[in-house]
Amino acid sequence: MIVRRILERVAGMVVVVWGAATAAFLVLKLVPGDPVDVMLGVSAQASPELKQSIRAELGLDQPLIVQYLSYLARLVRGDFGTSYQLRLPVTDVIGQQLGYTLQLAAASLAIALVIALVGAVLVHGRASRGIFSVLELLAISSPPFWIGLVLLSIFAFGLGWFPVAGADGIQSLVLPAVTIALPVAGILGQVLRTGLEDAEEQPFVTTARARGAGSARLVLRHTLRHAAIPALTLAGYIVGSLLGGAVVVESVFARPGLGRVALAAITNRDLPVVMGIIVFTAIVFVLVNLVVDLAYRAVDPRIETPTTAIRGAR
Amino acid sequence: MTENREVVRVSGLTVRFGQTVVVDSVSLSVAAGECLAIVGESGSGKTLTARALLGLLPDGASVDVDELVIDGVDARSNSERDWRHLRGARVGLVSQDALVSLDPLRRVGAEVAEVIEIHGAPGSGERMPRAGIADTVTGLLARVAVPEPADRARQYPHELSGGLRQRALIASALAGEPGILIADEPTTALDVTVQAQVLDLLSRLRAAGLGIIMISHDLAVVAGVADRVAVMKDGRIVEEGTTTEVLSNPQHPYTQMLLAAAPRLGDGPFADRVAARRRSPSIEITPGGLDTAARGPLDQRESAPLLHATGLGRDFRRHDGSLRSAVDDVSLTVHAGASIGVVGESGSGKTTLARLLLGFDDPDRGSVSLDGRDWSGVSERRRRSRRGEIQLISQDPLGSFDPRYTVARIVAEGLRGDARRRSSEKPAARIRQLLESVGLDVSLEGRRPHELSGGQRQRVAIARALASEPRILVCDEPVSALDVSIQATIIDLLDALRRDLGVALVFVSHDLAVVAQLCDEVLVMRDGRVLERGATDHVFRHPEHPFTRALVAAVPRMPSSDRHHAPDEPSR
Repeated sequence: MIVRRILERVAGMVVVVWGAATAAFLVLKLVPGDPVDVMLGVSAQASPELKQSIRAELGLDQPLIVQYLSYLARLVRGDFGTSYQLRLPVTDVIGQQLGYTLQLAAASLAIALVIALVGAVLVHGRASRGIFSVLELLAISSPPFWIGLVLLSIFAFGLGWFPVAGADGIQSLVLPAVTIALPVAGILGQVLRTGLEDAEEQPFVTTARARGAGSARLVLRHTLRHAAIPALTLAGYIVGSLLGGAVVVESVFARPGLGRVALAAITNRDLPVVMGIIVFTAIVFVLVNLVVDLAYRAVDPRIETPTTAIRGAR
Repeated sequence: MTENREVVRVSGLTVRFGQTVVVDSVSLSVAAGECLAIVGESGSGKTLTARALLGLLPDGASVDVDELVIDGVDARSNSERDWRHLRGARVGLVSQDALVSLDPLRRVGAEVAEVIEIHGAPGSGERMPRAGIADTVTGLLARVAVPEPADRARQYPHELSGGLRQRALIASALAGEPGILIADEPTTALDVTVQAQVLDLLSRLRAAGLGIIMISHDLAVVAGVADRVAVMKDGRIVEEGTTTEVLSNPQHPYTQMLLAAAPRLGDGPFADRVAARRRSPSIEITPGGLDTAARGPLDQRESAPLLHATGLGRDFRRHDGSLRSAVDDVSLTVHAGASIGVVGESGSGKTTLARLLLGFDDPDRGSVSLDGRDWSGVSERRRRSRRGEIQLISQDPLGSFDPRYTVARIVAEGLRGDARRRSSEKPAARIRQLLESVGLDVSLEGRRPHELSGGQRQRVAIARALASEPRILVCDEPVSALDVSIQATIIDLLDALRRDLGVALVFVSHDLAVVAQLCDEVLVMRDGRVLERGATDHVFRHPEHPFTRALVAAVPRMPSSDRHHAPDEPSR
């Protein structure tokens, strides 16, 4: 049973990644314009014969289905192709930039978690909760590039506490990370607070209080775990925000990273890089979902025992 | 009794929400080794009284009290901090339904250990090492008769049966060795046989010197455990005395009403009621506008069954992949005007059977026919036009109402699917007629569900079910969520509908006494199978199967009725 469930799960993950890869392939084939022209640059004066030979070398003269199948075959071997622009394997391009973006994402997530937890757990009383809700709503509804610009003008240009651009140490990480973290913290805080309030209404809270538990113990040992369950459903959204935020923030703060590479690849029609990043993102999402599922099971022991009705068990 | 140390002494306890007085100068006292039962219906203030003894009243409640001594501590001017020292250490709380009263995300052992983690070792208050706590928890679980206590401590609440869960909850309340235990409806969510075991456990704890305050809506449940009973109504204690006194010679009219309304098993009036019912003419009035002439007189229809189920089976797959038969080889015939009870404990398959009869689920084996035509195994499209013939009354009608609908609109929902509705009739007039037929005032038709009492809601649900002029009502625990006095009126209503309109009832319930009042025929189910069936009074008075015998024996009884109408005695 267990083995079968794991196999089903892995098969599902493969299907998702395959779907993303196929969609990326089709969309980019539909984009008008000859990739070879793009590769050579607008000003390049190449003879048609040269272009034809490049096309043949890249396999672009083959029928679409052949291109598609060989593309899938290369993906399976972990070969994402070579960047038209940088003349590097796409895996290397992603690998070089991944570290910067991971740093940024991890810092953003940590900041968002701290803000959300402080807001949900420590802010008590109707008035202060109301004020915090408004702040959260503001953070959720503000576009990241705008937050980034506001932070830049206040803390970098105005106060000069942090550098304006670059990726040089912790100092340069703070503003970009906060920019991404604020909207995430806003929505996470609201979900956590609602989850805590729902949990506080449950009968087991009365039981725990009847044992003499104080409010700190109630939150840490009881209600926070319950509130974490709805918060976990946000994981997909949060990873999306972190990656999407990276595209904007890395440009605003002139930081290296995957987001900037993605932006550059799209503007320059560097198709192998774009496809590589799409497939890479799909893999990240699939893995995140797997981790979230495992986390659900760790947090909520009731999930492990589904009694499913079956049809036709005669 | 008076020689024993007093563990709770309260006088003049008044609880207000704003201007509303919800508990009105209540005084009570409990000695060690004594059990006081506070009995009342919903809204009587019994739970708030209990909460006041823990300092756990909801926000917005204000308390006035002349005397409040808990296990020797004057708690009148307690701060929240003082209360926390009392809770768990000197007062323990056991609530209804341990599935939600124990934290579902924590292991049973952790829940039991929490009191010790908070207060330290009972008595000394010293911090206990981990291993010591684990041993104490195992000991506590063993003390409340949980088998394999060390293994159970590592399980989660949902992995335990209802009875074991409730025992674990009691163990967690006992962990701090309090002098007083407050048990708020401790057995309400349990099957009767399990209820009997838990009540027995409470009796033994009381005998061991624990003071117990037991809150209940059910006089029969407290009868076997409590030394004294206090009856509460509208925030006041209207009557108090020893259990035998109050139950055998109730003084206050409200107590008398509660006693009269409580359904009893093996009670004298039952046989009389059945006899009276048999004598009464089959169809007298047609308040619902039923076209009785078209259906013919009752006895002519007796020959052709309305609903016929043969060899029904329904399987579900367990999470380990094995099959479990929720319903296995159940046959059932329902004639017009019949009332068939289906009793059994939770998990016996009675609700699955009801769903199969209603055509909400298709059987894996066997078949159901309605009015002589196939009812199981046909497409929902073909079933839909016939759905009006057989209707469901569920335990919680509130969940089946759109909260934004008015009563009139809720009832009108039942009309919509009615293919046989006469076009000449105005829906509004028909709705009023339906409301009247279930004893609801027509002025309620503009109300919304949350503005109705529990009994009124159940009447609205019945009116909606009657809208399509059904010939069978399948009732799944229709009165389990209601106060006894309301319960009695709903049972009377169902009985009247059956008598006057000839509607057949299939009545699914865990409550044998209710079934005994209403049903002529009964099926006893266990593990999906019918163990015993027959005329209700015969089955309950002379149960043949050991399980039926255990079930009948476990039903809590008033001391007086116990003596005279034990089920094994021949009927008078």
